[in-house]
Amino acid sequence: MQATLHDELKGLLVESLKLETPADEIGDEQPLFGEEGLGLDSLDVLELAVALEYRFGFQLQLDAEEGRRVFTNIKSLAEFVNEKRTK
Amino acid sequence: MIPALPITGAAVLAPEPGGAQRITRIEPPARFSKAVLRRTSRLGQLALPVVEAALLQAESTAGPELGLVVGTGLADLDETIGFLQGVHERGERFASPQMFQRSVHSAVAGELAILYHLTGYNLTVTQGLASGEAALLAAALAVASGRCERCLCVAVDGVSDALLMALADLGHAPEAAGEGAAALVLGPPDHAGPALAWLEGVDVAAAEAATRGADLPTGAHGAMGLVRTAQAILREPGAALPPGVEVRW
Repeated sequence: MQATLHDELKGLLVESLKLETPADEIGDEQPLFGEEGLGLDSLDVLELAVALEYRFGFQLQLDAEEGRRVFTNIKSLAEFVNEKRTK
Repeated sequence: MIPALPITGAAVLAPEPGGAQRITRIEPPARFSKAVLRRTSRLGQLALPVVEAALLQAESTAGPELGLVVGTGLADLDETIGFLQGVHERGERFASPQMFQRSVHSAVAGELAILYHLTGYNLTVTQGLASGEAALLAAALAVASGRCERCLCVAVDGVSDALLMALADLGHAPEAAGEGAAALVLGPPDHAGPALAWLEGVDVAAAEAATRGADLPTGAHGAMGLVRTAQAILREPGAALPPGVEVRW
């Protein structure tokens, strides 16, 4: 179940942000930000947030610190989605 | 009337004559990272190689004295349709933020301004199939009026699935659509250095008249006038200036 959500999130990431990295090459604990990670930035997070809200049926309301924690990597994102999802 | 202005840089990107109407091979300047290019619209990616080459040829440095005028007939139609489709299918709340910023006509001008640190005069013009000529006139007027010392004039248009469908609905063959990008750097009238050619006049009404009434020419697009101008300035084989553009070599 958890592996499926991880895969779904990776697919969503690649699709919504037009990443060149294939979904199956994204590690669960690979950082989303920074050069050692996927290199996302705040504009990517905005796009991703809209995609997450639509796909999983919740509204993101995070302060800066929570946002950094949730969008650390696929694993942290999956934990958050599991907790908040309505569909 | 505009004074004669030197053209100190020129570059063009167009399909091979008689070839596909879509440009399949775009080589962006190597100094831009993949992360930057991922965020750049396809039209922006078409414009980057010509902007890079024209600025290099003109030995032009970016700064507030360098203006930017972009001409485009349809802008990035795929982004516009994608954005509106998202709103239609998912609702306004879930509209794509990134598609929105790439859907506006001035997106390419914004992208170029950010990537090349062009902090001066910045204008986007659109005038159907004469958008390239309209941009050239606007750029010349910007220099002639002193709004900027030099001006980078860019025209770009692309082929999208939506455009091909619209053309088919209107009874046009797919070959009627085309795409391309061109960039010229205009210098001040008192320029004393070398120049590729001198721009002596732009008659946008004549350019428009030449496209009106007749069936769409093969590979037609809004930027075509500037593409043809740049090809003529660079003396590409078979190239000729479009109606309304006067250049002296």
